[in-house]
Amino acid sequence: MRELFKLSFVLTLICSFAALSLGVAHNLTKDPIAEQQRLKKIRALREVFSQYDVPETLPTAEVVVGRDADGKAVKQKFFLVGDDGKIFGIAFESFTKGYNGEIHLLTGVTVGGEIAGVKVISHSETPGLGANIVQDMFSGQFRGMSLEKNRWTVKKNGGDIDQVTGATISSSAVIDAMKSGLQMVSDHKSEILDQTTER
Amino acid sequence: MGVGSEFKKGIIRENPTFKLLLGLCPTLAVTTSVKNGIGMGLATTFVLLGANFVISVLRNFIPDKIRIPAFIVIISTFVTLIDLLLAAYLPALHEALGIFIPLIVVNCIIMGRAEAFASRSPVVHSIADALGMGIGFTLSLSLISAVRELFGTGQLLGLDVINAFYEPAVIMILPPGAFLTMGLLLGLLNYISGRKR
Repeated sequence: MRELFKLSFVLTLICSFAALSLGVAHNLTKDPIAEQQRLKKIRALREVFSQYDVPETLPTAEVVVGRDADGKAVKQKFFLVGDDGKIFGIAFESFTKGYNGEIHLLTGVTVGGEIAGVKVISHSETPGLGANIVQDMFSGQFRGMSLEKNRWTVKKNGGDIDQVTGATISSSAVIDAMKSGLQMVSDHKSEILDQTTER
Repeated sequence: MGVGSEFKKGIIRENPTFKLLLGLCPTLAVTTSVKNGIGMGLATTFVLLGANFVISVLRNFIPDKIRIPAFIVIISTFVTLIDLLLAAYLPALHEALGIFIPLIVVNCIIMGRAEAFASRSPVVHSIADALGMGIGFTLSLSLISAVRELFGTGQLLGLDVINAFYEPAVIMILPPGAFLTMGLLLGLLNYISGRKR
């Protein structure tokens, strides 16, 4: 019985010290980490809207864009990119199923309905093949494309898009995500612009 | 043994990857490029130093019966600390290493050194052991990842080396390439050390 108390006491003591030091570290690093994540998002948005001046803080909007299988509303968050109250683009994050898992994308659409740019934030596609979707040669080609003037399929099938060699599934995942993203923004544009909240 | 030989043993004679065959899971998984290999090696060295130091200091305080849970708490505390510090102050490195940082918790080199060495050796010796093992691990990862990056992409550290006249064999940076490289290097090193004897 005494041994049991001793063992519990020592382990509790070690865990308390561990918890204490992690608590202190968490408090010290909380603000720098939040700041780094904010900067990362702004950097990504600036990459996506490379032809525009993107300010430090952006208003956001949350709009119901559809219903899932259970009939629950699916909400999507949008960043409104603009200067002096004049909005020139809408950006949003999305996840699409690639060859090896989810591809996380940040897409920018201009108010005119063209792709301003797209950035692959994370993915787990095959190195040397599908992973090349991050290259500007592939993801840069969407810039300026719109639903009306482009054929959203790979050149092999009579479309306008060069696919990544040897990575049909990864390429079509991004192409489909771009196309449905443009559709989503054009379907909900007025709601997005109405619901904007300053932050 | 002296402090100096405790340090030296981890580099060749008791190299964690090629002699002790410890920590093979992260070894096989992260060695797709030299940058990842070195980053993982250094992060592991840091955790190894912290864990060996604390466990050696507390070695007479921790009862034998609960040493394993105590070691795990200490090791995962250091890993979380590094994860937080890198995310806050070196975000670029944090992003490059990604999932590999939390994976250090399950690297058996750290548990192995805690159990086999730090829990029964003086502090200075434990630090020397951690440094030697860490450097040995980093060197092994660099070697494996250099072979895989060179033959898998034709590059080294992201710079073109033999691209001009070589068609990269993508399989080398895919999982099978890890086993091929590890097996062939291990065979080569055993052959060399066998001949010396």
